[in-house]
Amino acid sequence: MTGIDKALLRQLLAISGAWEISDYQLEVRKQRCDVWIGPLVERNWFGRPKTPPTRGQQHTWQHLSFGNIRFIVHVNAPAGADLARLPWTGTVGMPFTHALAQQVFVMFNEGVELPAICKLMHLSLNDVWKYRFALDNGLVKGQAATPTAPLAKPVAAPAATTAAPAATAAAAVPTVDLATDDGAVPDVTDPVWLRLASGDLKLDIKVLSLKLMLTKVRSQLEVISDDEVRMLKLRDLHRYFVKNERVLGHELSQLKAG
Amino acid sequence: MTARPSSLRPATGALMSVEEAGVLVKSGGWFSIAGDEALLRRLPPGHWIGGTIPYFVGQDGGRTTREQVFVTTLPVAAGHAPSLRWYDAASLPKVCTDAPANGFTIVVIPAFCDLHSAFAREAPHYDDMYLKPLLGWIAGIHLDDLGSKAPLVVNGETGEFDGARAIVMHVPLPDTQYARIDIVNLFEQGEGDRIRFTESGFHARDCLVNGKLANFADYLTQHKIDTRLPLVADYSGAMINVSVKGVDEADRRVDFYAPVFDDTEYRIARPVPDYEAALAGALPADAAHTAWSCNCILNYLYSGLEGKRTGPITGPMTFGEVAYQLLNQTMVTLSIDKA
Repeated sequence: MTGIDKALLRQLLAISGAWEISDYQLEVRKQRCDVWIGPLVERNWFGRPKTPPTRGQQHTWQHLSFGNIRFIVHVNAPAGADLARLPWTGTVGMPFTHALAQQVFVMFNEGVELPAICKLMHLSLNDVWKYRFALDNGLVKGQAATPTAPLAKPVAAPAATTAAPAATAAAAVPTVDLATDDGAVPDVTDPVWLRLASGDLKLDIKVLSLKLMLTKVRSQLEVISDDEVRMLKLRDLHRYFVKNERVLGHELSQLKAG
Repeated sequence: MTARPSSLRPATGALMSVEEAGVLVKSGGWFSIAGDEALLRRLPPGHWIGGTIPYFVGQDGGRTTREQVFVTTLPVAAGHAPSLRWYDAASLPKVCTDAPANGFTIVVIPAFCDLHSAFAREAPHYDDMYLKPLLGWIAGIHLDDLGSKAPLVVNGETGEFDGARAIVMHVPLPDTQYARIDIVNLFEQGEGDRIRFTESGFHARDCLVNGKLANFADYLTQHKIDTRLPLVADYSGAMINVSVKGVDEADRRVDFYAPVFDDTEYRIARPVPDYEAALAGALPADAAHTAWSCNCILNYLYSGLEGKRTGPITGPMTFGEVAYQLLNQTMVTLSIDKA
């Protein structure tokens, strides 16, 4: 096992206040570092705890990676501890710390597909999907670092590296032409999207996939109260229109008139 | 032996002998094939995906047969070769992200397996769901074989059969074409009670009838509801069915062929007195240009489609249909339009 200075580790993980790193285990070959964090313990001259450490609730989250090392934090949280603002903790039951969740959320906002997020950030599809599911069902809040900007062009997903036939690998790279501000699809910040998603604007819809998509988005918005996650759903709806613009002429004309 | 010319086969496919199907497969092309397991096992390797089922509406009308297979030639463009692959519980959620940017994807899933249930519950939440055309069907068996045989799906390129995984064909299309999936559902919401379920799933006990808590099995029994009529939900104008599989009065439980969702309002369907006539009137004007179709075995049985036609559209009568998500008692169609 490789040794690291705990003080350096504390700096890297931005741990401050009454918290300390009680232990860590870095396994370079496995590209993983587990870090145990708990309340700061008062120690005597010999470095031993003056009182036995209190065992609180144990939580584990995946944190930001450094280089190719994944950091897993195990937090011993005393009863009543406020973890909400600490970037190296997460929401109970979720796989990521707030800091990592923030990065994943930004990826969602930019329209990056789940497999690409997993590949770029070395995350398991299971964990990313669990987080996405929680967002979709209003169980966690969005965690964009800055106010959401108008939708940029989606990041092209890297070609699949699994043993998929060439046709499928090529198809993993999106080739959708995006509507610009001059296109038929209103910009994502246009209020029409919220009106459509909330049911305030009613369209005569001929396309089956839009009927199903709209129903899903409306259902999700009923349970999501967080503004940033709601914006994420509107981006999904906007992205659907951009992707299917050529078959949505009838609906787009109503959208623009609405 | 030669295969009959494609001009004599409906665009959505035809019933034929396994020998004729074998000739077609060997001649090249890409196919979707449905039939009895014994016949599917006799087919040569080639570019086809398949599933077991003995119920069809063929070129001569509805037919139950273990002597013929149903073959649809898929609309594949030159220079845009499809790809076949297996999907299991871990990978099926990626089926839409794997799909071509322009094209369509056909999925065949064995009935009754865990993957069937998982798809039914989770498909609406798959990444890229609704952004890319996904269609398909649930493979089944002859009803006389329930309990003794299992539905299977087939990768025609390898000859592999499986009862627990889905076989998928991703079909890319040139930019001059695009795929369109439609459904023809003759069932509309009736004027009866509004029903919501307290839990999502393939079974239900508690429900809210016009906002009041009730037991759904008791409700169906007390109101003498014809359980051949599905529950119908309004998805922004698309009528989506959930068919009743059975009512267990002792357990006060209702089982369904697709899951009910706790965030959806349902109503019992209005009866359709003459399915054949109603369907003929409901088909789109360009039905003859449909490239692929399937319909539901419940429509076949309840509406007595043996010997009857469904307009110019033919196809297997399946244990569930896929038009993005799992459907019941619905016809699904694929058309290829010019951009």
